Amino acid sequence: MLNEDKVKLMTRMAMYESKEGAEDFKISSYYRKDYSSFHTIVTIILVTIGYMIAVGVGAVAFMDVILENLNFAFIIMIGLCILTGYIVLVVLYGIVASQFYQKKHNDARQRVKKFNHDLTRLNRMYEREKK
Amino acid sequence: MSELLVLRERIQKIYTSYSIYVDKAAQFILSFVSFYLINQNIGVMKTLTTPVVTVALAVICTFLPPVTVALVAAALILAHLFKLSLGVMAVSAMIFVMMFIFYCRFTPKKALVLLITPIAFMLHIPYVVPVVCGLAMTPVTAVPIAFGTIIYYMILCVKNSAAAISATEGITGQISFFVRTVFQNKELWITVIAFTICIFTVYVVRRLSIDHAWKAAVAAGAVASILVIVIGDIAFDIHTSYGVLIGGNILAILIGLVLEFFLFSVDYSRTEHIQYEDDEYYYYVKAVPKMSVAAPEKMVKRINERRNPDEKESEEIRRRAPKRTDERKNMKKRQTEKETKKNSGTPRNTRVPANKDELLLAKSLQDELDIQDIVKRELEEH
Repeated sequence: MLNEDKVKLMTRMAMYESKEGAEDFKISSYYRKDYSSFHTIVTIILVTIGYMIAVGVGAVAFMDVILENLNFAFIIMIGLCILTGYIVLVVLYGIVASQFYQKKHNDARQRVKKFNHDLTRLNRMYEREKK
Repeated sequence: MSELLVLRERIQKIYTSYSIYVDKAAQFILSFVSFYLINQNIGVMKTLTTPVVTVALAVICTFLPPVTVALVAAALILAHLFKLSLGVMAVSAMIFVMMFIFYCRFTPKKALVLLITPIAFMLHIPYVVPVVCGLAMTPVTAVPIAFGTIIYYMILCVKNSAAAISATEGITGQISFFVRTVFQNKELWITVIAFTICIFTVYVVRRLSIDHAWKAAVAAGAVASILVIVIGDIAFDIHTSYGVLIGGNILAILIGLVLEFFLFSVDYSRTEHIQYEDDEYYYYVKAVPKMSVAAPEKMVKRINERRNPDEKESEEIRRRAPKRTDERKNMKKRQTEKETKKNSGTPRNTRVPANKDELLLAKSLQDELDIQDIVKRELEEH
């Protein structure tokens, strides 16, 4: 005969596995610090690339203004502005990314723990049925 | 009002019953409208602008995750731009990469906001987007809305200046012309600032613990949006259409009110203010009850129903069934009686007495009786 509790449990587990499970198992295989550090470094690298693109596009867009005011003081000022913007952006994204990936790891770990708990419960159910 | 609440309950019930189909239908409509509007505005590559391709792409996107719609839309824009100019396509691709790096990496599921913003612009209802996002989402959505606005102005630039871009000599010249036209457009930056302020205003006001916070938030957001654009218009001489601005914001208010009805329907007349304290804090709690009415369910009672012989049999079984249960109950009763008889000889130590005073009284009386017996026996012996 069908065991309703077992069916419910298995459905819940299968749903989890098909949706978030694969990514969660991958995330929870890392230590939290390793995971967040790695992704923060990747984010900083990508933000650097993105910032370079943005500066490039900005330079092309405002080329006429730059060429009109082209002198040493202006170049220094623009350079400082770009550098300040970059530092602010990197620090901001570094903090945000670190927090974000730590939370992501925590959430994934909790879900995997719950899944493992369900797995133990299911195993117990099978053992009880065998007896 | 109660009729509207019943209607809301019914709509929610229907949605929960058919959510898979409703979601997929919404995804199809969104995909189709997006691809159609992109083709209408910058349909340079004629092969992709045919209705068959548009419908086919929409159907494919329906069966894929919602993020795919945004990706396919980006690919479609790039394909059209490739036909126009390789340089323009390269710059646009870079801008898309930048958007991915700065936003979509963190919340890919909300990439749809990036797509909805230019669509709202093309449908002449852009002011609805910041109000809705401020009500239903977090202020972080200011980032995808800003990027979405940039995408729209890129599309607008291609739509208005496609011939000028093609006429410009050399890839560098085309890139320079395209980037300058898009990013030196003051209207773009004013709109981005207005939308950002609008989102923050709506979000902050709706979280205040004042009565009718959502209504106030919608109104404040719309006013903030109008004010910033009017100031920008006067300061930078942009020539914004005031009709579209005011009409769009009125529509935003209306949609905001509809959203409030579905997401935050509360009864302020029954608000309760509670005050209490614990060791560390004083609490001033304001509890506003939610408005909800259960949708009445229609019961269909059939009179003079035709019966077939099988049903008669089943009814006979049902009639007998209670007798069996009575028998079972009697059996159980007998069993429990037997068990209590068995257990009466050996009282459990673990059982907690129901009334301690009564038991103590009984025990003291018993002791007294025992003493009396002992005294009697001793007197008889003597």
